[in-house]
Amino acid sequence: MKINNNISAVVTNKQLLRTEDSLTAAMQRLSSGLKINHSKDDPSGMAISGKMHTQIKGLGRASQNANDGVSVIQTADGALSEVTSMLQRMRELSVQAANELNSPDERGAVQKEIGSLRNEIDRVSSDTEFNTKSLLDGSLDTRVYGEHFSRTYVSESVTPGTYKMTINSAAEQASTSNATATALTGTVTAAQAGAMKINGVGIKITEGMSASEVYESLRKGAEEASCQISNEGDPLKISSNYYGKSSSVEVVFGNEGLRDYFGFTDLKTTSYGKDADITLKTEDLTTNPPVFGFSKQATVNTDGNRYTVTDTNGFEMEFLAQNDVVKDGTGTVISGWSTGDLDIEVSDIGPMVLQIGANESQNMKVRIPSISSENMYLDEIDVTKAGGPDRAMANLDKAIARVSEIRSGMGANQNRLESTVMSLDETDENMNSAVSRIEDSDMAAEMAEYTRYNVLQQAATSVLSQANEIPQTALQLLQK
Amino acid sequence: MTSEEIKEYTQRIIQSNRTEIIVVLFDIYNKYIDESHKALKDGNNDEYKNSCHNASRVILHLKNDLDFRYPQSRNLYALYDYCDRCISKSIYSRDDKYLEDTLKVMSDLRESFVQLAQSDSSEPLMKNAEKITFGLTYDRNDVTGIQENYDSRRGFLV
Repeated sequence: MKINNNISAVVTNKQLLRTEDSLTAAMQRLSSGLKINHSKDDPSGMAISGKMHTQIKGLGRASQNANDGVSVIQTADGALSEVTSMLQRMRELSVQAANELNSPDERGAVQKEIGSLRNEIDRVSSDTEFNTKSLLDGSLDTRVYGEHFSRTYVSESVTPGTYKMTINSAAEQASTSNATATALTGTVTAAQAGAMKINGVGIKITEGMSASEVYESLRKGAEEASCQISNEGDPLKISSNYYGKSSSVEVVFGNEGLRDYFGFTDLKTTSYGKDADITLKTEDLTTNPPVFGFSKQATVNTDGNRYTVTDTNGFEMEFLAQNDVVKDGTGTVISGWSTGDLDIEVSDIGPMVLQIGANESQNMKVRIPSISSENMYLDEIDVTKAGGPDRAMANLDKAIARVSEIRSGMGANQNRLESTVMSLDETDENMNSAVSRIEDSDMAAEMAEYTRYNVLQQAATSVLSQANEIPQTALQLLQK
Repeated sequence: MTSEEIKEYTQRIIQSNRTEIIVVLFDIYNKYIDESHKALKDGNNDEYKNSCHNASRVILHLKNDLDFRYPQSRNLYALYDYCDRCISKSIYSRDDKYLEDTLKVMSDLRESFVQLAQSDSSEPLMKNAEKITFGLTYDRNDVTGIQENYDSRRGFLV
């Protein structure tokens, strides 16, 4: 069988299609109702949808936009329901790992499952979309700009503007140095051998071990205790991985000989970290020009380098501050940043703008914050480390609360949109009935069957209602 | 889609009238859903998402083609919106059972448009496209294609 290839027609079509690529991009953005453009963009006209008829009634379009908004929110909510289940499972696993009867292998298996769930949360975050538009990866989140901070979250009631603060002193890790300020040296004698603990993690030092071998045992034990030690050959210092006054390092020696080997003066030494000291720059509306920012009632709470500013009316701004200064031997800063001024610029771009009325000003913003394992601090979870399960449970409780807060905000937006759809449909005299929302497969099957017959019964108008595709745009659907 | 399939659908689109082109859109949709099933079975998540995206774009076209001055458009819109939500669900849950739900809906609608197309005698949308006729001219097993109005310059003369 000879298959004829109308190459020339295809080539000509391709040339026509290229000029319409930009039209298509506009078409997709506008026609899906998920507007990022200024609301002045004219949604009507043939260029938008491939329709052969030029007129799109303003209200019909608005109703469709509001309906699309509801679908976006429903889709995001469905995905967040799955994320909530995964977070709750992770919490269950953390509780399980907190049971001290678990062996390291058992805790390792639990951590592995936690890791898989964390990866799955990230996959859901990047894969959730509606009409090819990503919903949970920050695409519809309020854009916040500035230096020296990350993992920003702002609540709905944070209005756009520049918010300033000064970090007078950064959070510090708990750390303990030996009194002699020396490195480990010498072979362990019988009198020096024994057991020690760092944050409850036991380390055995046996007679005959070289300083290197002792260093290695110490390093392994410290890692399990969520601590780090100074480099081999440097004066011994044990620091917590965590910042703030809730972080601690407790070193306990089983005997005085072992204590002396390490250069400590006490059998038990406990040290704590320090919280950051922050001054919020508050607004002053009496000056000319007025200074906007945090209100005089705003307060800041720190958990290590994680700062949360709260205020009345549900105002919440949270971020992770940069704190990575590296100093040389003389105390001079070589790299990094930890103290100084922070300018946090909250913009008004990012959220989805839905044109829900025929006029320019009739639009509604729907915002969906970014959901990722990093934003929820799930990357800090390690139940194999000392104190890990407790920390995991604290982080997971916050994450579950955050997702719940986001879902209830979306629910409120959905209610507003649904009532908008109803009121728009009532005012449009050409509409005989509201657009129904099909919620399940049974309803879909019923509606499909009814529509099939209805379409055939009113053939002429059915063709006019649907048969408005232009070949040039249809061809764009074909790809490898 | 393979190159052959792209050619086949291109051909159909070029030769379609306004109703036939809608049937082609439904067929393209089915093709992409098929591809997504296969990709999921092969464990290829990127390919699965890509096929679902493509299916979603077909729905977008059908939605945007609707003229709300006619009442049938409302039910059609509701059905397309349902399919869109199913596709989204199937992507984030990585479960193609939601795609099955859309196939039932789309096959019902396709049925009606096939019948409408049979009684729609309007001209193809693309003017000056050549007409292709196939026939068993010399042999039962030998299908010959004949082109009418074939002009390699397609009317362009420099």
